[in-house]
Amino acid sequence: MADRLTQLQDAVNQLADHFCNSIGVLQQCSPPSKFEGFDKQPGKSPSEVPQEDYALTFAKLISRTAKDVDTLIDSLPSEESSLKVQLESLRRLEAENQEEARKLEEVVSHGQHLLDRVQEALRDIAQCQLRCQAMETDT
Amino acid sequence: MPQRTEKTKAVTMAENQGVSAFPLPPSKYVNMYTDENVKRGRAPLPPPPIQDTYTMFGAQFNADDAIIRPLESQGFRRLHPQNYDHKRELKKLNHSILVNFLDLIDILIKAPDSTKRTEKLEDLNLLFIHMHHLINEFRPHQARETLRVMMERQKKERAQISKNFETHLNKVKELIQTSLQSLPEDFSFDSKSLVKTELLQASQHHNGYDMETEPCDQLDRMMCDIVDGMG
Repeated sequence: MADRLTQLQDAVNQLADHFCNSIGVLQQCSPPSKFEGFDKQPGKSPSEVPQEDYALTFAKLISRTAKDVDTLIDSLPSEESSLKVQLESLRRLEAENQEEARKLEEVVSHGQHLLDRVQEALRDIAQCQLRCQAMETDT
Repeated sequence: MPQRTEKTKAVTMAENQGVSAFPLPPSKYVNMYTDENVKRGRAPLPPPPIQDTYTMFGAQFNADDAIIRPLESQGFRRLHPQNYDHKRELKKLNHSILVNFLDLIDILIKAPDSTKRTEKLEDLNLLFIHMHHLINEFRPHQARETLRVMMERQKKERAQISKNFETHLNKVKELIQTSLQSLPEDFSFDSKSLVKTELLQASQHHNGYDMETEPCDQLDRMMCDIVDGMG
């Protein structure tokens, strides 16, 4: 699902599409209207065109789309969280983020330090073991 | 990476058909970016950002306009007052659009060829353009909100990571301390190994003397120790 603004844009475009389509379709498939007092061939009146009642369908579609547009407009944020408030919160968040980054870096350096010492100790232990083994094989 | 998978899909499809899906790269430029050119610094620099107007696909663009939110009064008549509430204006526009559509249908029924029709179409056009303009004015706000949400999430993640790392670190420290405490404290060696330690200390002094005279790399020192021990 796209974000609300894109949905709103799509709904507006859809409304325009419905307008065009409804007028076009109704114009295309409308039965020809009779002239007043000109009864040329009265028997040739259009015999029950299977009225699929596009007019009603389109009316429903258009009203539903317009209602959707209204709902989407309502869901937009109001002017309270204005520019200044946003910029202020962005600045505050940036400061907090940098603080967190500093803490993270500190903790990681502690860990790195500990790791270095453990590795040093392991190295010493390994060397002693090697020397002891060497001295054992000497004798 | 999503780009890569789309590219491989298109490429495999094109390979199946035997023709390349993409245009060839501009060989004149590509050949200038060889490895040694880049190393020597003679590969051409990226083009500088464009300062003033440029045309793209026939339409002209201004690089130094406030492209994010250009004023409405640049092209069209303005229908809403100077200080407006976006939501209220949007709703009024929505209703105006519907009313105008009904008027249009009326005109089409009664007098389809009159000039009123074109006027009404112009009105509808203007109303729709207004609507999209007001929607676009929300976009920078949305961008800032997205940024704010992203930063908050990043801050939470960082706090989480550092907390987890700290707990792990403490666990590791505890582990080391318990294992140190549980080391055998009794020094009851037998005499053979005591002699060996004297030898060991003597060789260590010898090595220490060497180390003072000549600073060498620690890795080399280790290697020498190992080799001395084995040989």
